[in-house]
Amino acid sequence: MALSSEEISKCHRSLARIAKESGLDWVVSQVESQIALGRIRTGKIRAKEVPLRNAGEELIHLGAKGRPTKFTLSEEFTPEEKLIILIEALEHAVSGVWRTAMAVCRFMSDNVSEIREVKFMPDGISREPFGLLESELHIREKGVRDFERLVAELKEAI
Amino acid sequence: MPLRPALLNEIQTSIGSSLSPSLTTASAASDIYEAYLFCIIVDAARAEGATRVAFRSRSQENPSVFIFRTSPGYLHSTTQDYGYVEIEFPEKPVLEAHLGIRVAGASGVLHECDVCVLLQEEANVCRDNPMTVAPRSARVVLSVEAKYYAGDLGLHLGREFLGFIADTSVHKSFFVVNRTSSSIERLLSHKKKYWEHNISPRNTTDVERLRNAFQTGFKDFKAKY
Repeated sequence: MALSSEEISKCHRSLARIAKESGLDWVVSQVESQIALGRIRTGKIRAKEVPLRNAGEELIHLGAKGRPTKFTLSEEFTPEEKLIILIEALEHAVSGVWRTAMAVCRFMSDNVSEIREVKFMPDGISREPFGLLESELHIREKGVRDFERLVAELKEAI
Repeated sequence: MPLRPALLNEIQTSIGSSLSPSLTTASAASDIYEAYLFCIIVDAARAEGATRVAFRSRSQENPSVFIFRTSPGYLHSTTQDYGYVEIEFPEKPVLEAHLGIRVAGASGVLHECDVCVLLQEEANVCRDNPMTVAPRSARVVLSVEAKYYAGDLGLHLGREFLGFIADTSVHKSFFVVNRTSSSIERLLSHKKKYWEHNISPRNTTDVERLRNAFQTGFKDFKAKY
């Protein structure tokens, strides 16, 4: 049996906390913005009516006059959808970044014969530099695979 | 069935062992992504028949430490020995691929190009001038606006890209993101601008399509010069 809405919401809060504790505050922030916006779609409604809205039900048309007109609508995400959004965001931030970093390292080592390191350094502003070492990324590969396996298990449970 | 009790704790542990702290920031994710797209562009140049692709920095060829910019800068900057790539097609002007340089728009305003391929002749003017000179956008063959986001992208990013295109004369400008963004895709499609989504190492079909689009950009360059 899938998780209840309450369990899903609790899981969402816990996962958001974990993300923040792991230095991924920006992920939670982006997810919150996406959730606040809602699911955007276009739909036709009668402009002269004020539709009643109940969670999970169709818009009720009050027998109004006037032709249906295209409007841009926003629908709230379900608790399951919100959790999936957060999980997929973490996937981008964790395994997505690792894979992209690894792709850069491999390309550079294939193309620059003497290369020891790829560095990222600011130009004229104070910002922390960082580097990519293929050997260090390799060490972290198991962590990434564990993460991918575990979030797949979480998605399966929802 | 309730969640396995240890699952979330295990996820937390795995996050910690997946990324070093320096790679957990949004800025690091963006910087690495720009470098990734830089690599795809270089690959596309080779695919289009570039006879010379030389990785270098201002001071040396084939540097052992290749330095990418993490903030927009001037091409001539000597703050660090930033790396770039020289690209040469037979009997065509030499090109250079750079990360994070400022280019001048028609209004005279400076815009940041996340990834930029421009004529070396223009790059040399900037490097050799004692004043700080930004390359002109009309001398830029390819530019990429790179966006790495965990959540959905705000529409303002698409609007900003349209503003960049409106003020610059780059031959081909691309908006490239690591995931889908329906509102931006709709906007840019409606405006007939070049864009790509889901560009990440796992999505080989999408990456191939982008590489082909860059390759077409090089093909057009060869035809024009």
